[in-house]
Amino acid sequence: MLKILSAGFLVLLLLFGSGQAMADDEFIIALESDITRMDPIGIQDATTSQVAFQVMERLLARDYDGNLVPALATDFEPNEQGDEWTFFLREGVTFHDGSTFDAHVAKWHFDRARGEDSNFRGQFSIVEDVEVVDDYKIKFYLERPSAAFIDNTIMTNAGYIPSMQAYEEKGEDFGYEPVGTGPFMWYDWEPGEEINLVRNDNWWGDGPLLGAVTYRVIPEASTQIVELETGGVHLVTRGLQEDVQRIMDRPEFEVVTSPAYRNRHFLLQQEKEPFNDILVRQAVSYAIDMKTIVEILAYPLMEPAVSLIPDASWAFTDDLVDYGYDPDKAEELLLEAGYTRASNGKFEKDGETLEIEILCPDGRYFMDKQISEAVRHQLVELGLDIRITIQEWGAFLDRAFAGDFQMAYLGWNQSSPEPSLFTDALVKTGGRANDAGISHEELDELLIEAMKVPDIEERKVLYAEAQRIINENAWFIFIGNESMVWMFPANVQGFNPSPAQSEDLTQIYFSN
Amino acid sequence: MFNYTIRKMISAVPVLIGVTILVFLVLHLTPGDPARILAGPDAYEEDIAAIRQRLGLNDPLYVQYGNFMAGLIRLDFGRSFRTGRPVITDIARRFPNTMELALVSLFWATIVGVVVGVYAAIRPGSTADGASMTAALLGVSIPTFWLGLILMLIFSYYLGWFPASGRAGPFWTPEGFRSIFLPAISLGAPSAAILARLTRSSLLEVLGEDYVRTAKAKGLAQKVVIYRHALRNALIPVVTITGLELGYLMGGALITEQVFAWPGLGRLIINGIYAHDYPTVQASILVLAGIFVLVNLVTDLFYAVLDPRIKYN
Repeated sequence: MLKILSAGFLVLLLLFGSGQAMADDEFIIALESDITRMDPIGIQDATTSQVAFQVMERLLARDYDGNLVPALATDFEPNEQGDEWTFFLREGVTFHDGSTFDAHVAKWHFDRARGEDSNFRGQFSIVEDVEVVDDYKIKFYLERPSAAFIDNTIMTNAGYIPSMQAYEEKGEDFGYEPVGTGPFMWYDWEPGEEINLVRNDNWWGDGPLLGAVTYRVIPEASTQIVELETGGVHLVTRGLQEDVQRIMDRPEFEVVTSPAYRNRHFLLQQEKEPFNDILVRQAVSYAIDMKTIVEILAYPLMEPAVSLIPDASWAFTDDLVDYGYDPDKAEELLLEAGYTRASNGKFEKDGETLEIEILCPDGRYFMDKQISEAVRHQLVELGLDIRITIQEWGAFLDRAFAGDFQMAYLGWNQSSPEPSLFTDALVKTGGRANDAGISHEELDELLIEAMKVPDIEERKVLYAEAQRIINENAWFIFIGNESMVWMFPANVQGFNPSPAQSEDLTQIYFSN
Repeated sequence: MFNYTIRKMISAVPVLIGVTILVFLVLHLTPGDPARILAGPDAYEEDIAAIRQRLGLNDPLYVQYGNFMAGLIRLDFGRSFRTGRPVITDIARRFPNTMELALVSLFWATIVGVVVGVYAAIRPGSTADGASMTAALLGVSIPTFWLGLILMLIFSYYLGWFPASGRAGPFWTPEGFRSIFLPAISLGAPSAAILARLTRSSLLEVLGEDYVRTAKAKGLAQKVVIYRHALRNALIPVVTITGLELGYLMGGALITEQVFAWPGLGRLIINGIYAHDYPTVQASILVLAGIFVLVNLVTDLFYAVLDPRIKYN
């Protein structure tokens, strides 16, 4: 019987043993999850944005260093006050459906982005009007000056400009068969399986060299790595630490990492006990050897951070209070805050042990649970009672936004080096993600001033001061800046990834 | 038989309504705001509020449930919160893939399970019996996701015989067969193990019956006694479990689909749960529950084929 089964198995293998066909100029990318809907005013997730980037374009793009470079606009010009922004549009650009890109299409799109159906009304609320100056010139009128106007609006997902003609013709299907001006055209989409793009021979830029790009939906990180190693995909952008290190050691693969604008931190709830006392916040900061934790648990996918503004931003400064690992200093600060050591070695005040709950999401951020556990261990060593609560993302968000935590593992991702995207949301009074209710008059004034000043050097000075205030107050324990990682076979050439945006695939080719 | 079938189908309606209530309540009472998840952590409050309003999440629970049920009557399962597509479109696309995986898994699991079970039963106490039952015990005990990863490591990574993930077409095509092979082995292994153990014990019991002894005393060949007289009766509990296994396989495909990136209903449900995509999860689970009920009905009816004494009036 076993012989028959074995023989049958071998016959099946011989019968079906042919490999999967793959075109020579087809580039296959692993995606963690499927895309949703490609209507720019509704794109909320990174995966959909990643694919949209190949099909549609914004007025501007970013180069490897995060600098703004022309895309559908060749240039732009703010007025002196910074409340009127004029964009000079590229001529001779056509959408994949043959319709022409001009100022009328751009106005139609940005009016939609400000309209009722948009998920980006908050970002675009600063725009009072969009005017067509001529066929290739468009002007935005803002309700107040904003040095970060471009980063807050033009460079968001709602900045991708689709074809107006396609919108009128396709109706409901518009978001499922996107038509843009990008280097690749939409071909088809098997939901849950793959998305196929083909080269746009009429693209205005240089390239693309590839004939087709396929995105394969592979949810498990370990499966993505096996697919990379067995030739099933050409590009993987995530992986477990040990997998990435293993791939780095293999000469037939290239691994490129780059610090991204992705800050990870513990936010300390300064409106509640015990973190309403700055001494306790500083003590806890000194008690954690975060640099070592990150290096052991997360290298090379995360680099230690010392500020809220990522190292990769032009506004970053390291001239800040150094909360290096110093348990003696931590103890000293706790004693100064009125805590005493009990006979069991724990810190207590008024007979109550110093207890802290760490709120942590369930795998949302790279190594979040493991880093929380390491932090717990060090704080317990100091003499604190620490409990970790791990919650599913939806439940975690509910608690985080309600400020219902003492110490929460949080992250903030942006695709831009613009510092206000971090500071104004997280520490400005009333900021949309200021979950700890931080309110600091001097800091607010600095941040408001920094938005009015167009000169980057002046802004640097203001943001450096802002970072000093943030660190002195120890509202955050900075964990690290998560890096972006790209793993691909060594015969893939012309790959020049940017930390500021999705992959530029236009210059990629296979060397053999 | 016809009346029995109709009666059983009518009695399934309250079960399915119960499923809708249960799933609806569990989803809505789970902490987490779908609008906030959809909008992302850096969204503006006004945008989150607008999304919430657009999705009808500000309505009282009973109104939301009423809308869902009213839609069901019109066979309208609503639109996915995430993609905006009609849920029925997503289910129609994913369901055949899950069904294909479950059926192929059940097919090999039934053949291997029954063959191994019979083989072990006719040689009780032998080394082969011990080995096959140990293998069956392993099959029941090994977690599906772990088995999936090990199979992937051996057959994709080291040997390169099968693709590590994805579905490359229907299983009867060469590419399709290669792509379904590992997920089907991984998913079907526990079922094969259960069926092997059940077939063995059931056949051993039947082989001890008087009528089998009589058949042997009449001088019938061993093969005729086993395959014509004993096995047929021994298979009744096996059929029951096989039917139930199909339901379990469809539900259990969640993990296998995740590991092997199989584009089935299971992954649709997992993504729906993560995103709190209520319409997708509600409709998908209802479909799975409906299939479970249907499979049970077919199993009941199949008894009559195996044992002519069983009649449904």
